[in-house]
Amino acid sequence: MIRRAIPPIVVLFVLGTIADVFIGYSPFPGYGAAIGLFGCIAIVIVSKWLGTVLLDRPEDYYPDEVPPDLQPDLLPPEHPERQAHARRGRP
Amino acid sequence: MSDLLLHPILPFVVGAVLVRLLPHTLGHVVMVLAPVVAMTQIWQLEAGTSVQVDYLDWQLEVLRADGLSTPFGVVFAIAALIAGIYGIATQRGPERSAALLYAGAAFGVVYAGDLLTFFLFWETKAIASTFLILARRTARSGRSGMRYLFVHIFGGKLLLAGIIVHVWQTDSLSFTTFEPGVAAYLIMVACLLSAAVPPLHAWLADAYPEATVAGTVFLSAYTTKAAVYALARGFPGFDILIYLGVIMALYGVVYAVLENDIRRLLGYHIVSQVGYMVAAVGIGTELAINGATAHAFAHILYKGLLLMGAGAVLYATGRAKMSELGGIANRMRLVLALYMVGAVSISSFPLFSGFVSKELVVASASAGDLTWLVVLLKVASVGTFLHTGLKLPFGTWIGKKGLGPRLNGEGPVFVGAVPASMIAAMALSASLNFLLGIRPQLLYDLLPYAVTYDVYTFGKVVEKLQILLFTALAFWLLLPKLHAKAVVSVDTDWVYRKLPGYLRDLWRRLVPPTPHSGRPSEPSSRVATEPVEPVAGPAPAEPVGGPAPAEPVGGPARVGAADAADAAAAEAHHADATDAPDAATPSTAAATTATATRRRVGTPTRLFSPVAGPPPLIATWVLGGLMLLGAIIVLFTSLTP
Repeated sequence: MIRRAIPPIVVLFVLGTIADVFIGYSPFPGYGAAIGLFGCIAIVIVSKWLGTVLLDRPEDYYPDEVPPDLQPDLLPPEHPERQAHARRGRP
Repeated sequence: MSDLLLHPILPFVVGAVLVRLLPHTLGHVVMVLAPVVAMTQIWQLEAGTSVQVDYLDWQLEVLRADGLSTPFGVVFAIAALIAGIYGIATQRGPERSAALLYAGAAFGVVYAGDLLTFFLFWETKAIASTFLILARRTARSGRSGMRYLFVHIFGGKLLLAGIIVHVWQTDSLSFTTFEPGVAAYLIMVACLLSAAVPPLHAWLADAYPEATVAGTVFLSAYTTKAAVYALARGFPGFDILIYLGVIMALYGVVYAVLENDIRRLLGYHIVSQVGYMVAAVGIGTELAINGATAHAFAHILYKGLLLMGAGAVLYATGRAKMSELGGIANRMRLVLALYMVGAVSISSFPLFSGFVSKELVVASASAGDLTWLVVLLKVASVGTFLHTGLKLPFGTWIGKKGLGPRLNGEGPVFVGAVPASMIAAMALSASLNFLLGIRPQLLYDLLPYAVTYDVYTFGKVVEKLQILLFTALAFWLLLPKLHAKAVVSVDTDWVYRKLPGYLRDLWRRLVPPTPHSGRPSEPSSRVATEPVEPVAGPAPAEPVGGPAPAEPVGGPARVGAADAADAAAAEAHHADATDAPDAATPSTAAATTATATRRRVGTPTRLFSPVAGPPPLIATWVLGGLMLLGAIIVLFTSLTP
């Protein structure tokens, strides 16, 4: 699927770089493309690395506050999942 | 004095009372009418209006309308209108009352000309906003809301301390640009806390996702932006704000990569976006203050829209974790489309509001020869597009499950109907975002200083489009790494959610609890002193118990009666009204203290995790003593002539 997207991306990149050369707004031609591509890769890799070594914890890390899969209190009363939850809650 | 009738807080305070008195349907009208009246008042308020009131020895300026307060007032009124319409389907009287009071107090903050008025509205805002979180009435939101309140009250006390020192030194209450000094820094820390600057930001990501669906939309508009206003008023050109702002912008992006809950992810993006404003205030030039104001204006509009989209998902499916969502795009096309308008706005696509405001901030940075800042802000904006524009909509509506079925009952989750009022509010917000994008002059005319800036030059647009295109390409390449994982990320709220437990544990190891150690340890007497409240929540549940908490205690020989009581409390929380049905078999601890457990069900007696029990008694004494000492010092220094 990505193969089909490569030609238009290359065309747009070349057009953008040529425009950069003529306009002279960017520090160097293709500046925006470099920031977008490498900035994005850097953000993802650095954040994932930080998450692995430092920040990520299992969901029950704060034992009282495990993030619930379903938050039925925010559903409208007629929602079937809320009704099902209410039935389960009343033995 | 008659100008006081034009203070925009009036319709909100009157409305806050009326929504409690009038029938529910008339409350809808109040929610729409109050912001409209406020908008009319702001229209009538001429720049330079000032109302002075004598109070004791002081001359208070309770209303000051000038170039800086007007744009904030205008956008606050728009935000109240949009969020009010959005809440028609879900908000009840008490929640509406809190929301209106909160919005009104935010007006009070931005129109306050002196520090005393400012402080009073600042605190009102903190307290009223807490009720938007508590309005969910679940144990989780209760604890989260109380943590939020504690943090903000702490910030409010810093503000008060700063004001007292300021008045003591300068003998003036007027709220203008501060000179660097102790007073200024105390007030600045209070404002930074409220603007969610790391490391004082954890309250935002902790509390906003626990509020009601409409409550989060209200919350996202006022607290941080009122703090940005205060910073722009008091601290333009303080260099430290540049560094803090850029750290903020990147910090929010990093946490957003790891986040699974959609509303919490958007919360971290509030941190990131407010970073632009804080950095701009730190630059402090006229262009930069314009940029901060414009970005606050646009941010309120598009962040509200994004949170409304997330709230609509929550309202229709009851789910907010991306690992639980996906495969619902075909059931929520309109919501997805409106959300995407907000997403392209925050990602600063040309023709949408974020572009015209964010470029002002970036331009002020490059005008100040801060090339590193320009690059880092652009990288942060890459992260914004990556998360709110690509990862969040992909994970929420599409995900591994694809676009999903067109009919209910076949897909992974049941998707309820989204009310027309929610769609209308989102559409209103989306059209405003688009309007500001194509007519930036509408926004620029409101700003404090004259704007001679052309945002739509060919170079800027081409560069922006390149950034966006290649971010999308990188997202596509990295997609396998970006699927949400069911984890929580530790943030600085660890300090008050986890650390007290460890400290208590350490204390127990050092000082074993004996019958005379000073701590009341009789379980029966403790239970008797606990306030027993009625069971909260929609589905009252029997205390079936939960998995035994893995609570580190100070060695098996020292497990005293107090520990047993703690375990019982922990069990009670596991069995609270919302979590009960999925709980496992009762454990022995719950069985032995069954009577104690039953009386505590649904009572959010604990604000912190079970491991975080009450602090050691000595800490209470030390803290109390320090506060008393501080009070005595302040008293004596104020008495000496």
